[in-house]
Amino acid sequence: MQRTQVRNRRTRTWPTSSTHAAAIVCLLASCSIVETALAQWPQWGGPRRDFSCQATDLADRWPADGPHKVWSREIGGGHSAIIVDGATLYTMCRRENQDAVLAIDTNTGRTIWETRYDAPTKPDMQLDFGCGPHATPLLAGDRLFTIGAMVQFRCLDKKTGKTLWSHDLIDEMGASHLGRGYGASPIAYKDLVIINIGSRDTGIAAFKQDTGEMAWKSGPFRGGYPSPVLTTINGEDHLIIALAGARAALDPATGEVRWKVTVDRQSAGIMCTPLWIAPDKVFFSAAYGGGSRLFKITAKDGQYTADELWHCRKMKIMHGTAARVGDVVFGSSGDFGPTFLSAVNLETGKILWRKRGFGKANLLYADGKFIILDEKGELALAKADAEGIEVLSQAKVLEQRSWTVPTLVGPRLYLRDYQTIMALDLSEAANRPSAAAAPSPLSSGQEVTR
Amino acid sequence: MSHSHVLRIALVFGLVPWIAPTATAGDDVPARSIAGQTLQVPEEQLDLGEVYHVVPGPGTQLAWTHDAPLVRVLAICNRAVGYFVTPFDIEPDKSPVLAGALRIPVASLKTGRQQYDGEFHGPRALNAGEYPEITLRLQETRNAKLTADKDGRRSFTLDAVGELTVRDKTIRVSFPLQVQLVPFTWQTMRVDIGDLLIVRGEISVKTADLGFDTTASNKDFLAETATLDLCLMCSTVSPENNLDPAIKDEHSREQMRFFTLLRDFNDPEKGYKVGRAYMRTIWDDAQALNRLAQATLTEEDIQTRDLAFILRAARRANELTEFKDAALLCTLAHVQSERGDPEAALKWARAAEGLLEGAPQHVAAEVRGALARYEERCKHNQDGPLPSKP
Repeated sequence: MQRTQVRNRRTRTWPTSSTHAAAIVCLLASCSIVETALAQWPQWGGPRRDFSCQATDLADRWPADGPHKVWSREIGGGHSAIIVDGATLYTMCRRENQDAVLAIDTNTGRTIWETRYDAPTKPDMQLDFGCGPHATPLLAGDRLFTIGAMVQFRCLDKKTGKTLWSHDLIDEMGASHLGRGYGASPIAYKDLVIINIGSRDTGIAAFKQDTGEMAWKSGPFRGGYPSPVLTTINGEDHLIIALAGARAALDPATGEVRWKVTVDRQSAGIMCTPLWIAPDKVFFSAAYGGGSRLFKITAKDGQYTADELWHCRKMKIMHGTAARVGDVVFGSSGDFGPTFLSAVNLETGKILWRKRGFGKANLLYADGKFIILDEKGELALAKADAEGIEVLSQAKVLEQRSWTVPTLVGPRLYLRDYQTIMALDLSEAANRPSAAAAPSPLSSGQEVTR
Repeated sequence: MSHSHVLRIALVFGLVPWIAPTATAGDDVPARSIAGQTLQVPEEQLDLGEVYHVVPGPGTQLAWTHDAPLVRVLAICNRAVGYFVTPFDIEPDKSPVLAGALRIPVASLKTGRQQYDGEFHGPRALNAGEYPEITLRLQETRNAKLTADKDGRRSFTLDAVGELTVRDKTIRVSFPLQVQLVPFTWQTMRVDIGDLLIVRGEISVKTADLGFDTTASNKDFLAETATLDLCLMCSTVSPENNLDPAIKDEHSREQMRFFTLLRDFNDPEKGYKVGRAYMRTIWDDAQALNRLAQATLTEEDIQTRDLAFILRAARRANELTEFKDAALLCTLAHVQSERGDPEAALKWARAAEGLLEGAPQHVAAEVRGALARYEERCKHNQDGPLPSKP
């Protein structure tokens, strides 16, 4: 990230000498490679799958019409998030009866390749919110793994979009499309890629990345929208899963259950990705009466147990993200009714504050700030802690069903709604004001609603 | 009850001038939203805790009763709107209600007999034309007692003090309240979505304080006290929150505004003015036009249904879809039937039946049921007088 700043400064003081210029071009080229290696966003939730990333020098204030727009273009329907690998981003969208995987130039927004395949909807689906795709591609090496709403699981060559192998998991394994379309994003573990199945006899399954051959399958778990996360507890790897009937962890190498907690029907409608709280706790949040729960994982005699430390009904994250800073978890809480940006104390499970004014939102944490995108397309930058939240800048940048969590690589933010995908530059340099954003009605000091 | 009793009740309401107001009626009660189905909760109250909106409709029950020796007037309303605010963290020894307000459209208080309603709402009684709402504002609650706490549901009793404004008269009222907080579950969703709050209470007022004639000549016809019996279903989800992704929020709000005026306030003049303006904004949206026509045709408690208005919306919806949508044709058939033209109804219902391939089961059943009714009516039309409306 520091190298990004170097590049910006040099750009502003571009030398006149062609020799110097050539040298700096070389330097910039090498910087770019280093930056790419450090900054890519290879999967759902970012490098650590926790919706936080390294970034510096994000501008606190944006021009009135929002941060500097690098490009914007139409894209088909879908809520699949964006992953970034150097100068290419990948995402998915819907084209009539087909799913499409797109590779797009991050600098221009132009399509590099697009791979489509037939993915007809099923008669037992509820599609009033569209038919996805909901899951986010995963990049592992040169392979791109994708899953559409109808649970067609594919491995593509990231450079060409050529399909290397595929599985129709409804046909092959009876995977669940969950009514509104499959939504959990795949995760890589060593040479495996692991996904939710939710069939009658298989909860989770792992496939070999190179051949697509199944490596293991777990026992039965009902399906679920939350994407699994990986962590290490007591020196052993845990794949943490949140499914309709259970919160659990599996051995990602074998699929054996390490620990499991059964949950009630109210907690079954979970969509939020679990949040690992090192060294030994996991945060889960569900809307529809489920609320949030914190579990402590304990290892004893080679066995693991999960004990509920608290349950907070008031923190109910629906399909947004949870982000943690220190002892506080932040999220957008609400389901059918009003939604509040909320903070919950990890020690006590008590709500610390709530803020009105945003619709259901996704949060990212970077550079000591939160990037907030709500479903109405309001993008905001805010500072938040246990005491409250201060919105620094806010602008409406998207229009409809902005349910996709943005992606931040360096200072560049990639975001989409159901129609449009765009890249914004959040850097101080790009937003240095000729016209700084006027304080919005939501940004006047610490508007904290308890 | 005899006609003379009706007249007598009219006299009870009409003979005595209303007492001068002690305060400007309902000034402190927050205004309705533009759509009219919620109140605009003041900022400072929003920050107190959770806001529960009164849900108008079948779950809301509010009864006005005065029970005199020779007559009992019982008026029911299910179109009250309002809200209650509870603390964010409910504690057993603290009041579970911090603020609240209600607006009750006078025109929606129904006695079950139109003649009574006319008098009850008329200028000599509650005077809905000039004072279209009864309002209630909570000022204070005290003596809260937790009476039940099981499965996340908590019940309290408490004493409430508030201001009741009827016509231009505002009086202070004290009354017991029972509240039950019911967190959302898949079971409670059958009643309403969101976390629920059920508020029950009974407010007794002296009829004399409200300006009714309590002289000896009316004793047999007017009780000394009238009661306002509340059983309000409230939800954290506003009734204006449109959860159907197929319906644009602004369409939902405008249609709601139209129905608030037409149904809740029984004000067809203002209502249809809003309705016509709304129809212009959705003139190229077949589904929105159909929803408007269908709802205006079927919504309960609308006293004045402008069939020309409904026909215009239904016809345009079908023009836009080139008469090829079974559900829209069914609406057109329905409005023609209501207009007394069963042949036209039959024609459009048959057209709808011809388009049922692939239609959802409930649409097919509805179309076929309607078709059978219109066929029956046409048959009777040819044979003799029409039977009464279905």
